[in-house]
Amino acid sequence: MNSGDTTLGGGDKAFPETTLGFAGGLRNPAAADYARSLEILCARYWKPVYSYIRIAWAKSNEDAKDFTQEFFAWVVEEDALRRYERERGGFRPYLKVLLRRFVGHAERDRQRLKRGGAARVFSLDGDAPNLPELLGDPAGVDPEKVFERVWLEDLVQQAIGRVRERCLRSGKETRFRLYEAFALGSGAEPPSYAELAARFGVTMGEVEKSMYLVREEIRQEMRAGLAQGAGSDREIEDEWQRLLGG
Amino acid sequence: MSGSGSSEDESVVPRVLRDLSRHERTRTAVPGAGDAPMPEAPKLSRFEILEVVGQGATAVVYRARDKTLNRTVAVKVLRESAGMSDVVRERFRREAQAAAGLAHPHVVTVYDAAEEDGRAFLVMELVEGRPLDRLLKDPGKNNPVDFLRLLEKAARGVAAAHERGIVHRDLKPANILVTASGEPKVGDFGLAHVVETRTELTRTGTALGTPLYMAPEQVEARSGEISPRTDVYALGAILYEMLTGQPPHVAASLAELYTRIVRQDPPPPKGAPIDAQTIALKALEKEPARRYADAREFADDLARHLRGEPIEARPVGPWGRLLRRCRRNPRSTMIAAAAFVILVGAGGIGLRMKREIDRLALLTPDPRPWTPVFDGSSMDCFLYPTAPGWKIQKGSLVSVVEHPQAMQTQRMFDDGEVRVRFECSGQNYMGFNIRMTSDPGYGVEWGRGGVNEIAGAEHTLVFSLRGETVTATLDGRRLPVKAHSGSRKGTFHFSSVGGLLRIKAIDYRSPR
Repeated sequence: MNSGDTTLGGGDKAFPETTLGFAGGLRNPAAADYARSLEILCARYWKPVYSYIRIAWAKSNEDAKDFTQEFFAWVVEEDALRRYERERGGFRPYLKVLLRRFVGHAERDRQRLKRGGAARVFSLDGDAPNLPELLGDPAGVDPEKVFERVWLEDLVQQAIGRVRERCLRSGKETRFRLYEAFALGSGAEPPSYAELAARFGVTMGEVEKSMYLVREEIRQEMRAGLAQGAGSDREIEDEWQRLLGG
Repeated sequence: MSGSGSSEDESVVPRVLRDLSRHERTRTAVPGAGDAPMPEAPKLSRFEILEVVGQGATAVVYRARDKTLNRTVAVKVLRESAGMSDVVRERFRREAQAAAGLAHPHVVTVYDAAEEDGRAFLVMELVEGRPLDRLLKDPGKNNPVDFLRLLEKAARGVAAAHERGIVHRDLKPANILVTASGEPKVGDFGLAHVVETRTELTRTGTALGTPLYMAPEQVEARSGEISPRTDVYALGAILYEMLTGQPPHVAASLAELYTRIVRQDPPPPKGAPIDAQTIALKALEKEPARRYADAREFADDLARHLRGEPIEARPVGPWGRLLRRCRRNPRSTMIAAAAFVILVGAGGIGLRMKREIDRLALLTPDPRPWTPVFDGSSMDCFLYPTAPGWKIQKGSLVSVVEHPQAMQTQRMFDDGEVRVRFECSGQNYMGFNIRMTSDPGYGVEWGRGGVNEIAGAEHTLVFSLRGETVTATLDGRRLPVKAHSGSRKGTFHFSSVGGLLRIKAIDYRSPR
């Protein structure tokens, strides 16, 4: 058999469905998963978009919320997401291009949206990030960097939140509390495993196992989040390594 | 915590990422991950612990020096051995007993098992190499046949265990280490189960194993059905991944994954040699009795395929697949039967047959000449920004080229065939998309390591369109075609990531 006879290593494979994420569903408003994809888009990107708009326009909190809403309405009205091609790169860079365009034509778009009633098409119940605390000095801050920073913050926090909820719901509170005390505490140095074992009244082995399992779950959640906006397995891996400083 | 944005949160993200970064380096058995922190290294009198080489939920593996015999070994320490239950302790002891009796060049040798200071540990041969899962992601110089040979050898190691009545139950690419000389060694008999001995370990019916490679009987915790055929399923899943780039079942949630493993047939690994497909699908049969009886039978058939001899497995036809699906899903059988009747009534069968005939006709070698559309010898046509005449749209990861001459193809491409001859190197992803004047467009793509097999030499991609029938072949092999509505009408796109793609020629010929 010559090497051309097979597709070993992925030759003919379609991309795994997880990597298509919600972006594929946004390309066709008539598709069954369009509404669900929009929902994920808003949940995943509302805060980064809000932060970008607030920095780029130096708007007040409430104004920025309105504009954020208008941005999503504009995206839907303009059918802009239909033009997204995952072959050309990740979804996040594409969304930033749309944001730049939106901000660049802000007043015109805003007037048009207002004429159309600026319909509130999404239920956005997320809290606005506390930008002054995130940014330090907002003057001269690059909105794209803020977008990235808030996106990452949200990715990590949502992952931790989901793992915590699962642990509490399944009666594994100690497992999460151990991780919380180690990795999420406010001290300059995390406590040693021995200190944690003594503090929680568990064995060292239980501390090690809990740490491993919670880290694995957070890892999976974060990678699932990356997959939603990625164009390929390779892109997920590259993003993941970049986040971890690899 | 979510979205509170407090000052305390400010330090959480980098701290979590640093913590995950350390975790990443040791979460699988990767020799050389020595810069990772050692999770509370045990103190063992006979061994000097040197570094962590891998860790899992239940154990940490260290590189260590045996002070008595002055040799380097791997020491696998159970995380909870200080307070482990009798069941886990028994499992650990049994692993040692089972594995220590195995002496095979393709099995990681277990030297000893002991307990010290309340910690149970195994002493094993230290294998300097890479886990197969990493090798599959980054194949390097390994070609497709190399991987099949690796799997055949690994299956011989598993067969040796089967002959002793041992079932691995957790076979997966990460558990197959490949040495620097290219020899596979199956390790981590951590879930090994002595078939003849019914113990508490199996009576609990706990679903043990790794979900992606888990057999249906494991998913459903039918402990009485765990047998060498369970390992055969895992070997089939690994083979399937080698052929397609992903395990046979992938899902967004564990529950969905389990459902697919139990209920759904994996999609045939199209594009792979028929015999390799047949071997993989036989090993992946839902009913254990329909699989190879053990790893030796699997290895033997794989060896026949590698030697170019006829294999013993026979492909399952469409009727066989349908019958099996009906057996697994009796409720939906009635619905399917009703749909069948409606289809017949509407003449759908005839239409489908016609399409299939069209499809087969397009695959038949065709002596008709090609008309040149684009000659790459007169123009450099590389995928990098300096290429003259090509409009380069650089994305963060993907470059897309559009060329007026290539775009001409659309005018004569509402029906017919377009042939693209190209060379490429180093890509991790490559795709060709074509969109005519009407919707939709069509695309084919390669992902991850798959492109490596086509790097270097010249290759030929042929798109054939006839009515609604669209096919694509690469070097004569069928490729799955996807609807692709994203690109502009009348364009022919070539996409690649991180490498060089040279279009040598584009030719066209009219429909038959």
